[in-house]
Amino acid sequence: MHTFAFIALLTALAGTPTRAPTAEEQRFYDEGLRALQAGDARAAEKAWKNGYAVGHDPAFLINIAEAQEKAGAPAEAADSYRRYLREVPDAADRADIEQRLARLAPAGTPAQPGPAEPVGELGAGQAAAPRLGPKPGFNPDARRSDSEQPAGAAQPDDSGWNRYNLTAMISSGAALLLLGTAGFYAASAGSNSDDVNRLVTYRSETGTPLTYSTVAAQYQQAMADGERNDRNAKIALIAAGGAAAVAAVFFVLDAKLGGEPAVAVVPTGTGVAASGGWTWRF
Amino acid sequence: MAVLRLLVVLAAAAVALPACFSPRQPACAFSCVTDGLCPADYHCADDGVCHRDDGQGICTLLPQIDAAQDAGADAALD
Repeated sequence: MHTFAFIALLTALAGTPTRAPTAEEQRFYDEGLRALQAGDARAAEKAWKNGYAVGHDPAFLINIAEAQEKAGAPAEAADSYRRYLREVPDAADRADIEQRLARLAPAGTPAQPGPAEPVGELGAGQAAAPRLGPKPGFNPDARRSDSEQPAGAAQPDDSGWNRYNLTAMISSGAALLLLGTAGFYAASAGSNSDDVNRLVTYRSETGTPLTYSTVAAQYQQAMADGERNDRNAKIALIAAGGAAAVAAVFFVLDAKLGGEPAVAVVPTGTGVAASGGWTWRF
Repeated sequence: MAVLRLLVVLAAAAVALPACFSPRQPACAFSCVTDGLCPADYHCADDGVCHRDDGQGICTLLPQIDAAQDAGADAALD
């Protein structure tokens, strides 16, 4: 459902007469996006505030709010969302923004748009319709990580998974599976050792050992099986170690970059361009 | 949480490490008095016992050649 809403929003925006963002706005937008992707939400917020200051495009306010959310400042984010709703009272994504405000309500103030007022260093608010219109490139849905979806009914992309934690979990599963395999082969090798040891150390009541020719087949079989199982156990253990290392790396990446968007929609000047998805960039 | 998962994986790896194939290789192992056959890395010595090729360790087995001779003598007496 969320995807449908997103597509509907894009369609609506594509049909909205807009002017191309200025080069300076585009530069600030790109700068903010890079900062956000690098995990520096405050730098992103600053860049987008600078972008907003250029032409007071209210679409920047959503970017700013998201950056503030990521920076752990829900009250500031709520303020930015409220300001967006004041500036674009007939915004196509109003319902979504109100949902976000409701989610932030415990930390912020009620989500009722009030009279225009200055917000931070952005300057005086503009109650008029946006000059550029909500730029698709600044569509908050496109950049928000899955884990930050607003509360509501379960949605296809509301799982909390991203490329990092998914890879980490798959690697962990593979590591555990390989460890189990290694354990199985190691136990088999241990059993083969026991078989060989029994033959080697056997003594009759008179202290006589076994005659080798009578147990040669058993001995050779146990030795061959033991060496093979031992080799397999070591291979599986090394593979498990590799998988565990991959898992560890991706757990760390998830912790540091887990909020990075899976999909990005950027302004192109004359329309919108969607990119991203499961792009495995490092 | 991620660190905890990682620790579990590493602990499991540590548990799996010691178990591997390590059969004993005593200084002498089998009797070869009847046919002179011994496992790889062993040879049949004059005492009728398979001894390690590298001569490592101390053999605690009694010479099997005497036992065979005794058995033959006993049979002859019977």
